[in-house]
Amino acid sequence: MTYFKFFSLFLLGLMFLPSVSVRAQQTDDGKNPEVAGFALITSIDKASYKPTEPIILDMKLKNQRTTNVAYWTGSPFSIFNISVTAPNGAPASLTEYGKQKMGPITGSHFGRILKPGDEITGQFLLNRLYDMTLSGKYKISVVCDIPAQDEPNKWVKIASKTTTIVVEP
Amino acid sequence: MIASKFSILLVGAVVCLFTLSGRADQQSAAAQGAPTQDNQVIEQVGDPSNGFTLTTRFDKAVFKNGEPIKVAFRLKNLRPTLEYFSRSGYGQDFGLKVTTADGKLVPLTQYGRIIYDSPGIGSSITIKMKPGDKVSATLYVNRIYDMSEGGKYNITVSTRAPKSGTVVTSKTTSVIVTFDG
Repeated sequence: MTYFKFFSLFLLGLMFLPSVSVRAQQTDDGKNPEVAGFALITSIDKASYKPTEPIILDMKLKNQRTTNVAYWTGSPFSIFNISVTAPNGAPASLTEYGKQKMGPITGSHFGRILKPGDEITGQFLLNRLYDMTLSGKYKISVVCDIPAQDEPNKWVKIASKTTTIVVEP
Repeated sequence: MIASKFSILLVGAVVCLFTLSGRADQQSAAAQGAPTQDNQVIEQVGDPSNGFTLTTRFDKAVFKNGEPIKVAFRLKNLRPTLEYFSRSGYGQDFGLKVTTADGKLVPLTQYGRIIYDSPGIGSSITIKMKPGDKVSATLYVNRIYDMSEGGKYNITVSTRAPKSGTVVTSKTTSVIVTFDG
């Protein structure tokens, strides 16, 4: 009987295990930022990384208006402006690859209609773009330009929450 | 009938030749430290230098999407005498040289600059090496060097032999770094 109880508890524990994995900490005001009918959501799968372990940032810009929105898009680098702050509080240095990708935007841009509920998504291997080899806390945030709601030809900025991750010694 | 037997023999001979030439290519590539298979361990013993050899070992030849590139190495004392080797906590006792396929030096990361441009940081200990003794260590190459670009990299480890200070160098190993998208 005791054996059976232990086994049930063990199974119950296994069911809860995935939900207790720690995600990266975000400055949490309860809601994702919403500006001019757009939401910008970022996520990082973990709060703590070993040195050189890949750090993947997922980003989602969602049209929450009830109308279609004309949006200029190109490469994800032209839509999502990432900011990474190093443990010393200064902007993190770009890697050789990052210098190429995060410099002046080149390449073609094209118009796209975002229907209500449509999303533009992006995924970046963050430590390929930024030098995150020093151990300590890194703060990550993203900014996107979006069309203002009531003023044609005007763009406003939407900023994501800031996420803090730790690179272990 | 004879023609059919001859053609079977001919096909057999061609297949054998292809297999043999493939093996020869792989052996030649392995001898140069070039990757032959993605997940193949590459272990190379360096040439003896001033009574020491430096052996390097990589778990595989192809590293994907920024995964850690670990090099394990061991210095072996071939001298008939007891030697004293000074170890540093940050791996400054072993030097790393990383070049691109076209021979250009790869820049250091922030971490790499701290390690190599600030000699003397951290503590050091002295290890006794009897004849035949080995000292082992590991380094994460892409924490020290900026390997954010995809491509082939040539990696060499070196250290200084006790007393003489002569540089002991490993064989150069080539690894490939790839990224999706």
